Amino acid sequence: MNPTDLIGMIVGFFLTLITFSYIFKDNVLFRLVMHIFIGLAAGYVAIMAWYNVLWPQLVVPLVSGTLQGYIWMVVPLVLGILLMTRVIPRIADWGKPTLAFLVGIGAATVVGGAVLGTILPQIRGLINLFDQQFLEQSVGNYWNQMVNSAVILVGTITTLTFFQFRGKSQLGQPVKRAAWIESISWLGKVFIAITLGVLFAGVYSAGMAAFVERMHSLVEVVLAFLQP
Amino acid sequence: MAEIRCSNCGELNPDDLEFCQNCQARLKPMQFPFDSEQSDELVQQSSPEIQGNEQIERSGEINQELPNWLSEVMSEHESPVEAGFEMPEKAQQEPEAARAELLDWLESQQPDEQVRGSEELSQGEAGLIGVGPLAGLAGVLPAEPDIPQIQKLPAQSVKLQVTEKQLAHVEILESVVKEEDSYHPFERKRTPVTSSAWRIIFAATFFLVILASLLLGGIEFAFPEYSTEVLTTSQLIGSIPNGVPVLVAVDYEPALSGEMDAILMPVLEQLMFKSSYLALVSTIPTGPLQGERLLRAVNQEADYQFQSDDQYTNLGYIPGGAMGLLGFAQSPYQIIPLDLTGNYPWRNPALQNISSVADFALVVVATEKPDTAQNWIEQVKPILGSAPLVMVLSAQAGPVIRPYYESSPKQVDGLVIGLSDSVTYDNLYRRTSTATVYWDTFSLGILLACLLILAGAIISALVSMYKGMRAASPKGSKA
Repeated sequence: MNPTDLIGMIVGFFLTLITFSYIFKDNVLFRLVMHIFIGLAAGYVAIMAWYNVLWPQLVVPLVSGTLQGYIWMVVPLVLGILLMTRVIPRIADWGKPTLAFLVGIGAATVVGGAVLGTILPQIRGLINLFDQQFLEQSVGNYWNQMVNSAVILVGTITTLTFFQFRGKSQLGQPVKRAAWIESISWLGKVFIAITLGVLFAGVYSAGMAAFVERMHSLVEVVLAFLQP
Repeated sequence: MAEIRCSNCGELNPDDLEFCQNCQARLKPMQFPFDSEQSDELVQQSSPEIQGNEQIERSGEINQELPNWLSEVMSEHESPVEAGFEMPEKAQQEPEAARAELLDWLESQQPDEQVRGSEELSQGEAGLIGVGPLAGLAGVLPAEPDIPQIQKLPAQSVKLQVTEKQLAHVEILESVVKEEDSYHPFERKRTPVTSSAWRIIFAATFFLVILASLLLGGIEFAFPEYSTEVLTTSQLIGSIPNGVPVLVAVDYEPALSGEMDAILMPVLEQLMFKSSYLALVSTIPTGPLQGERLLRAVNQEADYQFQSDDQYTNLGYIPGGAMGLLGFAQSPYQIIPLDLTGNYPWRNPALQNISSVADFALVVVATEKPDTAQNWIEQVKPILGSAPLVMVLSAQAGPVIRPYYESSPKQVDGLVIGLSDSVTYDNLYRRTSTATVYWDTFSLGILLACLLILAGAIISALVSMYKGMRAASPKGSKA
């Protein structure tokens, strides 16, 4: 083991122990570790932004690029400088065009991706679950797959119905949905509860894996010092 | 010197002043640009109590200043009243005839007040000028404000007409606003001693059990069965030719690297075994460093000697979230011109034919966040074409991304979820990676958590039953 790894191991050991001390109570050492972590992360992000983004994608093309590239680089440079004016309240409005450009493009990208990459393919996938060819090619039994597809369909519809909040309102009384929607949404609630349970199990499982890894590293450090 | 008292503030001012020295209010009525005699004359003309002789005398004086044609007209008549406004007088004398000119239906539409007003106007001749150049004309605007005619406006109701429903909404809004304004002192909740004690007891239980399992070994848990997604993933990786470029996205935060490293390692081992040229990339700033560390760990664990530039390149960080990802998928060399070491990686023989992400033989995305995985599916998968997309996911992201794998056609071609899939992957190739080392301890921890949740549920049910029985019993109800 080289000295750098050893130092890293020891520092990690103590930082892990201090973090675990939160189990007893919030304390100064725990907060110190949090501050160290946040500071390191922020510093690392700043360095990464300079060396991996600004330097190769803005500075290098401006200094040693072609005229065409130089012209193209002036646009993001100006927009970037305008965006930085947001930190000065007096001229903060100058950054609005850049911000609007970013928000607009970002929203268009995300919405387009969600519609074309998730909503439409998932609807098609749901329809194809009942495709005869798909059912016959499925790994399990035909009828097992059919039941599975039916459960997915019912789950999708009832869950979507649960989030339908239209209803009749009367003064001083809560809005009431129609009885048939209420009954369908109750089934949707069951599906949502199962989904949340599965998600909780997943989060717990991930946390347990991380906990085991940390404990394993602690044991390794102790054993490394105990063994001759 | 004579003084004049201000009607506004009561201050005494010299007589020659026009405005009050104290409050700047006007002391004298406004003067018009003619002499005082003419002013008095006009004031008297506007008064209904004017005497006929005086009118004639004054009009004689004014006539001197009038043009000839108007003087001639006026001289033909004895008085200005006779000068030609006989119609109103006729109308006054024959009101029935004047009113008869209105059509019946129009008269019925006319409001009473208006009718009355018109009658008053025709009968009273209040607006008729008696003397002067405008004598005989009606409806002429007065030269100065007709102060006596100013009346107090009738009182109008300002009460807002609202329905009961609107009133109820207003009350709700008021209560919400009042609630926002009211100051609620922060009450520091004291954690009950029992709660802290239980937390420490649970934590100690987990620590002891996990430590015992790591140090002493003990219970061995059976490995999970082969899942279809793991088999599919290993077949996909096995089917790509040796030495081809593979894009690996290390998109997880350091907090969950304990789990994610263990899951990703078997997949990377297989790729290294096939001598694939790995191009590491990440959409989070800490990702490139995670990738370097992981490759070093795999090199150590599986005894590979993967070296930068020869067998892999770390392209670094893709800025811009979903936008950056889309740009990278379309033209990687424009979004990331230089790698993490500052070299131009696209001249490398393995990457020189890469013009879009579809030119990679395989794309592997390792993430613990469902949103990141969805970004790759939504932005990159449509551009990938026939190149397969494999997701290596944390257990917490698995349930969200699984529908993309199970849908037909598949949006995700291969899937490895959580530590259990990673152990399965290891078993496929008879390897013992980190995931397999963790497996027994991990399973024990999961079992312990299940037992604690079950015990908690049973105790909670018993306590609530006991409370219910106690409340139902006569002694309990008395208490």
